[in-house]
Amino acid sequence: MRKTVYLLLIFQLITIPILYAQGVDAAAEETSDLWLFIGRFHPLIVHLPIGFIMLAFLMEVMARWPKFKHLEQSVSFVLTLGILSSVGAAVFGYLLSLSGEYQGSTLDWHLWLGLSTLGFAIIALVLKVKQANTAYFTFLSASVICLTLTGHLGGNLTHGSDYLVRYMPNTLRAMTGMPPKPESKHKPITNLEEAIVFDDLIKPITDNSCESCHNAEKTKGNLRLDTKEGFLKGGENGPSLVPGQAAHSELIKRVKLPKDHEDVMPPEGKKPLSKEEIALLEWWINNDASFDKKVAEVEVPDDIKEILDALVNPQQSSLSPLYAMEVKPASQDEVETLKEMGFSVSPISAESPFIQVSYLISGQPLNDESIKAIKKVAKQTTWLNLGKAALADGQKFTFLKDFNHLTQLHLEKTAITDEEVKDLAQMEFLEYLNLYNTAITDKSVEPLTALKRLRKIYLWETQVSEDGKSSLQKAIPELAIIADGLPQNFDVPLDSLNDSTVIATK
Amino acid sequence: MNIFEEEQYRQAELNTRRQFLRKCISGMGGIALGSLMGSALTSCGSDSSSSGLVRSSDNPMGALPSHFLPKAKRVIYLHMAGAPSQLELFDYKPELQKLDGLDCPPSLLEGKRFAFIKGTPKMLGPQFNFAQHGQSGAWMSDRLPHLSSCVDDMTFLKAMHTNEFNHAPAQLLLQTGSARLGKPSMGSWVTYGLGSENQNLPGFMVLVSGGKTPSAGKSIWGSGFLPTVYQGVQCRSKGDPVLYLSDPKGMSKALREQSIQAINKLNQKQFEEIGDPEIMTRISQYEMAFKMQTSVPETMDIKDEPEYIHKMYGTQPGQSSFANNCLLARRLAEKGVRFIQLYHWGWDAHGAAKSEAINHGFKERCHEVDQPIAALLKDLKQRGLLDDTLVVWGGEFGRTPMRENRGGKEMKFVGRDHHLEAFTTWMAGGGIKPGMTYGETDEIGYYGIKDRVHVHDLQATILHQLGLNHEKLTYHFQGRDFRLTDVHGEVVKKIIA
Repeated sequence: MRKTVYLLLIFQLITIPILYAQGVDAAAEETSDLWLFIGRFHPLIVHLPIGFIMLAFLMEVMARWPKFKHLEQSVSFVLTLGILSSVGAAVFGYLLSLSGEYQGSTLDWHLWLGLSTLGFAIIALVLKVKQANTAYFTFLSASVICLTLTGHLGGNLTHGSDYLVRYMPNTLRAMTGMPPKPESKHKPITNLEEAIVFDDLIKPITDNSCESCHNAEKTKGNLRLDTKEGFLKGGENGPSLVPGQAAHSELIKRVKLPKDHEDVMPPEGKKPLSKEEIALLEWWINNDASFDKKVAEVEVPDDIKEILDALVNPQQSSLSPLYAMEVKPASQDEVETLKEMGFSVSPISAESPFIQVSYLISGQPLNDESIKAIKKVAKQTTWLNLGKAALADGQKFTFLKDFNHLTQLHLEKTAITDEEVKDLAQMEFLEYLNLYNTAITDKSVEPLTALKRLRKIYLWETQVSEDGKSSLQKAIPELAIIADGLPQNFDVPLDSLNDSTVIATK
Repeated sequence: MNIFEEEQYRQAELNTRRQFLRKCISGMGGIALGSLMGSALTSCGSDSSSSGLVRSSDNPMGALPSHFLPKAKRVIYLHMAGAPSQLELFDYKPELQKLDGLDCPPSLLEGKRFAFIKGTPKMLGPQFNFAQHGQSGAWMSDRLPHLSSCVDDMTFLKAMHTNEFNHAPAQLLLQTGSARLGKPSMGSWVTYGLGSENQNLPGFMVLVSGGKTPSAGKSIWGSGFLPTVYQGVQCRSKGDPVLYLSDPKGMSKALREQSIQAINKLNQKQFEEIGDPEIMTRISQYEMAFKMQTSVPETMDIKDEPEYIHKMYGTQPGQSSFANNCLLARRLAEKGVRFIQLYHWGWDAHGAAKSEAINHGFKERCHEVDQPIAALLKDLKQRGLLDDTLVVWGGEFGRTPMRENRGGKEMKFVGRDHHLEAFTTWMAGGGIKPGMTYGETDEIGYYGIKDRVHVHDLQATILHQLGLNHEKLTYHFQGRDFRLTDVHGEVVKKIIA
């Protein structure tokens, strides 16, 4: 008897606000604001039923072991808490959906699955009280399944439908039969004049920064920026753009607010638009916010031209392809050992597995032990400075053979020989090689011509002749050979230092 | 509280049961918390290295990775204290020549404050002849004949500006990012962010010529609120390069080593109890000092340089000069010192005396620095060091296009007043586009009219070349994160190669 009363009470709790809300939908704004205020507590309470119902299910499963038998007595209590919080979540959720910020089939599914979760949980509780154990467990499981699905859809509504699997590794994707990771949605622009201003230049910006909150499923402020119509229609604060007048367009006003302003778009915590991106948006709106004009058909001021050029020909990445390669980072032990021997070792940048190694201690020749230690990190080393380093008796520079990931190598003022230079020929990534003040001769030129990526070589104070240099230059046209030596006579004739003062001194 | 009450209170602090118990509890709590946090808890600062790296406390100068791939690994900063006149060196203004001797129009003076100019000053044209040099056609006056052969390796920032028109605050603003005392200097920030490649020498070294510390005093290479291990170490060019570098009389090297080890053991114990990172700093400083007894003399002794190098720089071993400091800068760069700061002195050409007249003192200053700087650039280039060494030259502000009239009267000598709206700084090497001029001033060199660069932008750019993001290189102090560039600074992307 008493239970029926409870159930009725719960039913009324759910229905009254819903009916009431529908009744006042067209009424005073203040009231609907109040509903929205209450509705926004949905994310706050929604995790309670998830926890409670899951916990009830887990307790029920665990109680099958004699050791956990005692849990059985608490299941009803936990499940009741789950039902009560589900009711709250459902009511708040419904009120939130009235705002129109969320739409589409995902929302409908989320709503009905949420209600099913609640329904199955209530039925399960009733059956538990009636001691119909098998049926009870079936309904409890059904409730958990619905809960999982609705929770996932809720996440999708909040974060976007590809949020969960966006960064799933391709190997996992293959196993689950999903297509590989989507490449960037926007094609790189090849011909700037023919590019469509909106499609090729503006949409990539808004897709990147606006679309995740202003789309068909999640429509913050009733504004959609995933379609052309959305831009023109605007949102609850009126039109988002005034074609031809960027300064009067809400969209531009909002993105230009200071980073910590309440109304700034994208909201605080999300990455703000860059100066260049804002400039492009303004330029597009000032050109009547046309959706189909090509770049060739609109006026392109100098500053915009600069931005566009940078977009189309991104700085021919002068970075070595090596830095994009993956290697296993050097182990802590290997690095520590090197440091104890007097090497300086650090990653070339915070994100990189590659390391820079230098040996700047004078008076301590590299011996068998220290050479063994650096050979251990040969694959990770990309900048190696052994300038001025002496070798202990019997050691040779042939250990450099293993270092085929070097981009910079300092061997100035060392005892390296023509014979040992041959080992450098397989360093396909080498860009900088310093050999000044070594005994190498023209015999080294031939092996060095194999270094097609070499851009700077220092050959001052070596035995390499002019002919040697010019054949090296011929083999690698982009190479700068620095070997002129220093001006032996650095005197400037004194008469050039005579007074050229314009004003006579007093 | 008067003295008597305080005395009573101190007595009570020592003796009451309540105080005893309180101390017990808070002390234990502190120790427990410290060990829980697994790091030194201090009330004054904490390490918020954005790269998520923990600096090893027993090696605070160990090399650390930068935020992104660096172009430069070290900096040589040639600061001309007193602020050289851009109008007599790099910023050629033929239009100003036509106005020479005329009264300054009032529109230029309205609402402006100058250090000394009073009433209506006269305009002052460039005092020396200019010519274009090199492939890049950069203008340079005939006061820098040697340096003009290096223009194709240099990049000029012609429209620098700052907020301060007095030497000390302007120097502080340039070197520490704030015109007030107490902030860490650029070299301290850089060594804090990157450590140093050479553990036998300080990572941040300072060489001062001209016999006078800059107006801002030694705090200009201080570490502010960063651990003191990151402050600049000044080397002298006469006598012991660093004070007390030699062993005291009657003390052998072995004995010295043992005493330092003993002191460090005691300090280590103290650190384990209290956890103040400054103790670790002290320990590493003792070790560094001991290593420096051998590393510094061998680095600072320029006697072993060949004759033609001395000729090229114009150096004389044992002397104290800017030229010697330039040669030392190259030697320190070779040794992997991270930040090498040179200060030259006497550029404040007001014209109030012969020593600060543009055609006397200023001319001598030019002569003192011209050859050594040119030699330094050529020497670095030849040895393959200019690729990853960023050389920066500049003063703390510029000079006015008007002739200074101290007290409203025409002065005996020719000079210019302090000016914060326009001056020239140049850079070379370290991944900066060579042979480029960036920014432009109006036809009399009074205001920057294109591509202005503020000193904070310069700092941001220097950090950027070292692979550091000036907005991420922060240190938590007094409840907020501090940066070198405070809340300003934009990297000057257009001059980056």
